[in-house]
Amino acid sequence: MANTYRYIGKATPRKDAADIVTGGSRFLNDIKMPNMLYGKVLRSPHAHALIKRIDKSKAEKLEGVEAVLTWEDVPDWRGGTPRCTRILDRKVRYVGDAVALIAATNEEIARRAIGLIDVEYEVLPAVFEMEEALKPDAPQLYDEFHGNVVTPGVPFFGPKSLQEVVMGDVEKGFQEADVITEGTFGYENIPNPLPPEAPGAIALWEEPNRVTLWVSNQASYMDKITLFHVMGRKVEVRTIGGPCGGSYGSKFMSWQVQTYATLLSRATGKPVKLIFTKEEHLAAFTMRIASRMTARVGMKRDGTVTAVSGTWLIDTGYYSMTTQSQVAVGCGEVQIAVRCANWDLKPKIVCTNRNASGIVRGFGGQELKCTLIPLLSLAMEKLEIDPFQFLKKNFVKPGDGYFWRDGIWYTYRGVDFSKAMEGGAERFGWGKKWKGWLKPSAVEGTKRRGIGVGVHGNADIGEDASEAYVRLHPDGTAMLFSCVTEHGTGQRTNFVKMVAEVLQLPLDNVSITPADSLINPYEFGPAGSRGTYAIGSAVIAAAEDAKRKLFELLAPKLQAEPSELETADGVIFVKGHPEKKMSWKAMSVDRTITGCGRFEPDYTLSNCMMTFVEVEVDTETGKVTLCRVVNATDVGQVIDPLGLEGQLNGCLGSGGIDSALFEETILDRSSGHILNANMIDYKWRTFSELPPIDHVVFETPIPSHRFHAVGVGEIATSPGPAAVLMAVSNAIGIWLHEYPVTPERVLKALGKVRPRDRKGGVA
Amino acid sequence: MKGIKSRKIRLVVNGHIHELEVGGRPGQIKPSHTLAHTLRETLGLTGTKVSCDHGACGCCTVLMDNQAVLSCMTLTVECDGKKITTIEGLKDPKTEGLDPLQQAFIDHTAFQCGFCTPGILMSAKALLYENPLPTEEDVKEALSGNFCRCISHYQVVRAVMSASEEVR
Amino acid sequence: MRSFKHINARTVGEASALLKKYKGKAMLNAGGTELLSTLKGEYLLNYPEAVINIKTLPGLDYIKEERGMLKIGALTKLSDIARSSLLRESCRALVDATCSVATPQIRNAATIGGNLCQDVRCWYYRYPDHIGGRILCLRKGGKICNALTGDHRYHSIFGAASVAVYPCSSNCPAHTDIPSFLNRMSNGNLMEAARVLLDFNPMPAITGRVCPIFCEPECYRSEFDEPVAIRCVERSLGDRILERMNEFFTPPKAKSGRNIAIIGSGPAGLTAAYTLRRSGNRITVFEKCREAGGMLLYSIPPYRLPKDVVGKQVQALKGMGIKFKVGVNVGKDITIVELMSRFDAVFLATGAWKERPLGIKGEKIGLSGLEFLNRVNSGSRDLPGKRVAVIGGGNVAMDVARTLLRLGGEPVVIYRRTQAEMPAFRDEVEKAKEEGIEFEFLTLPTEVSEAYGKITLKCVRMRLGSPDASGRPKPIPIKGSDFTSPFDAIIKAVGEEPDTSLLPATFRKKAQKASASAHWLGKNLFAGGDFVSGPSTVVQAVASGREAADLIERSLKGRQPPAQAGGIEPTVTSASLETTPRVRIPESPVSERIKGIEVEDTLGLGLSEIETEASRCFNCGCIAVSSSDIGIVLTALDAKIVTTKRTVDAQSFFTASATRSTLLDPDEVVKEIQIPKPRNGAQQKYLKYSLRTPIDFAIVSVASVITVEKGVCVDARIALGAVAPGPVRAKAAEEAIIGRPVDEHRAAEAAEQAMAGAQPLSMNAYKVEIAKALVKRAIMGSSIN
Repeated sequence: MANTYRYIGKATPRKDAADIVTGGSRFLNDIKMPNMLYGKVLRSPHAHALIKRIDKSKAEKLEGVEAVLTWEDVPDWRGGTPRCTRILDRKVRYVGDAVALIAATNEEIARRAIGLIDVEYEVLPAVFEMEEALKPDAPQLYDEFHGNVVTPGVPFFGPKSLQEVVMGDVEKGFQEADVITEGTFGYENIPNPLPPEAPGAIALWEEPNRVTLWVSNQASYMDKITLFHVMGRKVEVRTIGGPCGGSYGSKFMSWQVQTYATLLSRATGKPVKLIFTKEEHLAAFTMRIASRMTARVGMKRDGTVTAVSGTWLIDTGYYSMTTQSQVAVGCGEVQIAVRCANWDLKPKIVCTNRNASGIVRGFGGQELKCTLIPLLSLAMEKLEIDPFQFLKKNFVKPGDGYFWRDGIWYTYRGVDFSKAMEGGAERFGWGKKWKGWLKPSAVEGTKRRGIGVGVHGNADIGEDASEAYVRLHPDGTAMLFSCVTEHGTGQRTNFVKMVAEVLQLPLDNVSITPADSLINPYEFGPAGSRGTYAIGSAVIAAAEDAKRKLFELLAPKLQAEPSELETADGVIFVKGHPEKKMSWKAMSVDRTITGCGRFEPDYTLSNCMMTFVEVEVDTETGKVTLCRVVNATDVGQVIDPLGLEGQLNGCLGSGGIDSALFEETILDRSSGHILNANMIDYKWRTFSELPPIDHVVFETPIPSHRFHAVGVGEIATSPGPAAVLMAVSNAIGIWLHEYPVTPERVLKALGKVRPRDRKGGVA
Repeated sequence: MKGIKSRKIRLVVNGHIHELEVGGRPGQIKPSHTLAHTLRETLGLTGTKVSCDHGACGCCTVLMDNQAVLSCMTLTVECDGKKITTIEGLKDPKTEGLDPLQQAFIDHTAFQCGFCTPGILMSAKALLYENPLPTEEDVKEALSGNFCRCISHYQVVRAVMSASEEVR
Repeated sequence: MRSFKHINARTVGEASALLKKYKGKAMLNAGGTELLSTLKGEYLLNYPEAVINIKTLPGLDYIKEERGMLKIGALTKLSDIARSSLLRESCRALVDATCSVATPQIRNAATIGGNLCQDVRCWYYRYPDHIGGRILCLRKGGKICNALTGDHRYHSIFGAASVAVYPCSSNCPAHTDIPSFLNRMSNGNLMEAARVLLDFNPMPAITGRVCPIFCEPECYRSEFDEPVAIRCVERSLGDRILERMNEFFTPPKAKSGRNIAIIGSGPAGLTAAYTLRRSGNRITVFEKCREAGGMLLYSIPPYRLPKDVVGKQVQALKGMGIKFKVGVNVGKDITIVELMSRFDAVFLATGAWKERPLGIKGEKIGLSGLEFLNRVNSGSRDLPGKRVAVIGGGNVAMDVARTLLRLGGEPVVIYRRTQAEMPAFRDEVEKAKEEGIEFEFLTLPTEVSEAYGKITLKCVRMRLGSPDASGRPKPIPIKGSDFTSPFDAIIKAVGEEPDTSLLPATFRKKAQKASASAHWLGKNLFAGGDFVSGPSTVVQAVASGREAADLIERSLKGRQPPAQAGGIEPTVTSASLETTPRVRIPESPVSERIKGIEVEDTLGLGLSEIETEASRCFNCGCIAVSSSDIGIVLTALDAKIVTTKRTVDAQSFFTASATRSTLLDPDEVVKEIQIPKPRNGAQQKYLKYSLRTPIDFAIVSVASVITVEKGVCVDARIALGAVAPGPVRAKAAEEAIIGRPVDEHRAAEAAEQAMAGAQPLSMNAYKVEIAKALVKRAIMGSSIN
């Protein structure tokens, strides 16, 4: 279908491109203010301990130190869901937990001051494994979480907030099955999304109860709301978001560093900048949840899933702000990926003495797919079912339904993604390469190739509310008011494109406000691939509203009905009579016209991403090389092709596909230290190791908004890991049950490294 | 010791000469200051980014005598007499026009969040100085020390190749 | 970064002088990456006061060829090496290794000298200070290498860099190289383990039974779970040594032509005899009793040390050609002076057999504890009476009481302080209590009287006061607390001392000067064991005997005897994140062991059990690996490193301890790298296995220089990296191919042999497989992929 849009679907430069390539983008750490102080955090060396005594007198005496705060000095602000985690507590719960905050005139002094604080701890036994934490005699992290299980129920998802997937009759389902399989898979490598820009904040407190925060986040308006609740609903919060140097979900919220800066500014009366070091980023910021699923699957010969029954353990680390939301969404997503009438899948969120988990691209769904797809595969293997056919067959189809995060049943009204999936399979050559389960697709010497496929879809593309204003100016320009920061997706430009498309203005004539909560309306933020549909809908509605008001205002002057009017390039004209026109100036120079748009949550649509991968395994060294990636999706309508390509390429980064290959956070399970908290030991993909990557993008108009598009950015990372695990297992002919597929795991599976015997050598 | 007496550091940054005193007062260069710190904090050239601060990510890459070096792993006091080029100095000094490499990055949207882009651009620039007609493999090798987490790699390689094609 | 002084050095000499001046508080900057990482991470205990920039040194960046030698200045940048056409043509492996270092940006700043001097790679060692505080690992003076008990997926598979002093060994009076014999034992290498042990102690079967265990409380494994059961391994190994005594106790090959007399056949005498016999001397041992063994035989009761063990031990020594003259009472039958004239040296080790008096009225009624034990050990089973007061709190008192019990008596131990102050081994006291022996603490006998065959002991109760000279609380009598108890017999065991009466008066004074060690008494007369130290332990006597032997050798030969220890680097045997339980040492149940004095209370273990227990030894080394790609390739290229002080081969440059990564002195600076130009046609490889390219350290790397002529390998040097604290030469692999046609099969065989000595840990065994694949591929000239 020919693209008749002026901007939509066309490659246009990003609005911020010139700033980015000239070094002109002002990221958080580039901001300097008069009298600004620098904040630092003293962190706990123990995984679990009570602070018996803190002597901060020496640190306070150091010249240049303006504040030293400990748990005794700070208000009872709390984060977490439920809200149990104090900003500074008498108890420390992981190696790296905050013990004291320091503000000083420069970073060097602040760091020296840390060394002058004397802390006496009473060390408590710590627990790092979910199963250990669930034992009756396990060390308890919180009084509020009996047995280290996070109390379920997400208040903002409503009273029926989804806590599990229970429906139908699983016993009956198993009876109907041709095969029943059972297994356990763990996606427990807690990869770090690792945006290049470390988390941080600048705060300026104004007495008695106002704080302005400069943030580098995905959702600056939500920071305001989160902090309002964390700060006991007693503080008026203004957040100003700038460009965000990568987030991948992880900087959707950074309430801790933001409250640290706030508390220090409150104590000193000066602006305080607190930016984590990369080591803090890796060891003391949030990362992906750890996931382990044990389940029984019943399946029929035709690939119908008759029953799924099992437990899903989630290690959330020492606190949980969003884990329950992730579980709720994940529980919804399994139903989108797998059509099944009988479910009994029970999640359990466990607290352990490691650093906290948080939001990461994939938001529960990726973690869940990484364990669920292999569990289903065990049954497919028995029945010799092609996984591509299986995943295609079982993905949600129009008319199917699911319980979404709010516990309400929704009927899917989107498109059938089968065509896009088939397009991907064809591009990948799936049909030719698939040789059956646990069979390599090719063998050459010590090298074996294997293929795998994964799928993911999310009805959160229509989650939460968005609001936008579009203001028209008599000079023929428009300004979009939307509290969206640029975190790499190009969405700020895309929303400008949408406004420009609706108003038919040159792109240069449309601007967007800074992501300042003071001037913009409510915005949940670009998350969960909701930008295109949810935010886009609000933006489009605002532009339409503004246009309507403009037409209403000027229709009498053109002696026409508003419905007969059209506009382009700041000129209004009568449809079919371009000579009957007038410039926007006619609205009068002392006037602006503001249109308002709002989006209400809608869970009846889902996006979809299928990822095909081919790997090569060196059976002598255990090295796994990613040879090819093909992503297949249907986005309804491309907004920006280069931006979309970037989002899809992103499947390799941010704790995505590579979390199946080599990305992991290495926790010393004897002491609780994160050992690879640096960018040498934390592995990430370099320019030298780019596999060929292909994206098959269909554009079947989706009943979303005016441009029939849905976002897919978030989910690009999600299907890949399960596909890699499948591919490697197929290549070597043995199921691998853990991520990532390290050389050690591969060689062990191949029987080359045998479990050590008691004598210390290799048997 | 004579070495201690050389208490002025002369840097040519983006064509401008800076004479910086070594000392502990504000505006002076401490021996412990890295080049990245001096550029960002003392000279206000915040286009150079610091990410890992440990020499592993390439975000802080600048040109020193036209070679790519890591400004976070370089002590300013050891840069006396060096010619430094940062992202702010990549534009044509006369016309103020964008370097073809910068334009190619815009044309290919060869970035996502843009945080690592200045470092990538400087590494790419160093490559083109040494090898104006690189192969794709050369580009990947030259950029192998630059971290990008959004995965802008594919578009970056295309952009660098297209910038070099202009030379061709 | 915290502040430091910055100095630009102008000459190498100046750099070296500055290092000396700052006494370890200055660091060199030869590139920047390593130095700045160290300073920013603040992971070392001491932050430098000064940074000395040596990049400014003139004339140290060159690449040239001189008389078949490639010479590279230490400050040559890696990027210049990578670009050098000379090296690209003649030294491809070095170029490849260089290109594999870090990133292009770092190679533009880093120098070859800096690369060689970089510190080891270990995430515990490099754990930064600001995310919870640095980790005090072994390299920083901590007790254990954290990687041993933690995550060591990238660490050494070829052992550990040793610490200077092992806690167990240094606390052992005989300084037994415990990690070394445990390591050999854990590999099932009993012969080797035995040899190491016998270097320090000829009677492990005996000390393994009666040693009060100086080593185990110091064992760092207890930081993790429980100490290694060292004594139990020693004893079980000792038993096997005695079973195969002919293999271990053989007459010396060399003969010194000297005759040495040893007076006394207790542990000190026997050890001296053994040690002196090993170095080729003729030995005659004089023993006053009917059988050799001294206190081992006549004092220690058989339930602790069976007689046949002592018998076998003596038998073993006889097998070496040591002569025993029993029933000879030196001092009566023959004088010391006479022996001194007939022998080249005389060693006096007659022990401490003289009972100290109680100093109370009627004490003559009481028997001597040692006499009683001697009688029983000589075969008597007579009880001195049913209810017997045993006076004293030392080991003899415990032996007496427990012997009495086993003979059907009812001993009551009377001691003037409390259990905590008892000088007896804790273990012995515990066992005595377990067996139901009655103790009267804080009780001092004041008078013994006898009437009509009944003995009455008068005592007074005590209380503890402030510490006395011995450091123990002084017992003070409580007035009016006197009481009396009836007994059938009294045995005194309040301490023993040597009988110096057999010495000529001229030597007596010197002998009485208390000392724990062996002694030269004058002329050719030496003394040791309890005779000089007073009552001590068997292992102390062993130590003393060995020391005396050394002293005698030195006095006779006028020079140092050869070094004792095996000289083989200790290697890591075991490490596991899981706690492995300490072996349960089998013991006879109380009901069994009190049935007779012949029932041994502690038993030995089977071979596989002691191998397992031995494998729990941490070896207390550091298992970090050397991270220098350049160092590995230089080892394969047979390069030399020229410093301001010496020229060393590349591999030796890295041979360092657990606290140093190179052999450089604190003020030593690397100047030049010299590489003999590899012969034309030599196939050079540098294969680096890492998870990423680049920005990564090797998990395993292999450098090789192999020359094949007419299908036959004529020369080969292969080095492995990241598998040990330093580069490892794969000599076995080289030998496997040199002189032979090289094919896939041979390469695979060589690869197996290269890894034959590997001892992977619980989490890094996979590295062995990778290393094998790499060696094979390097030999075959293929690439890593």
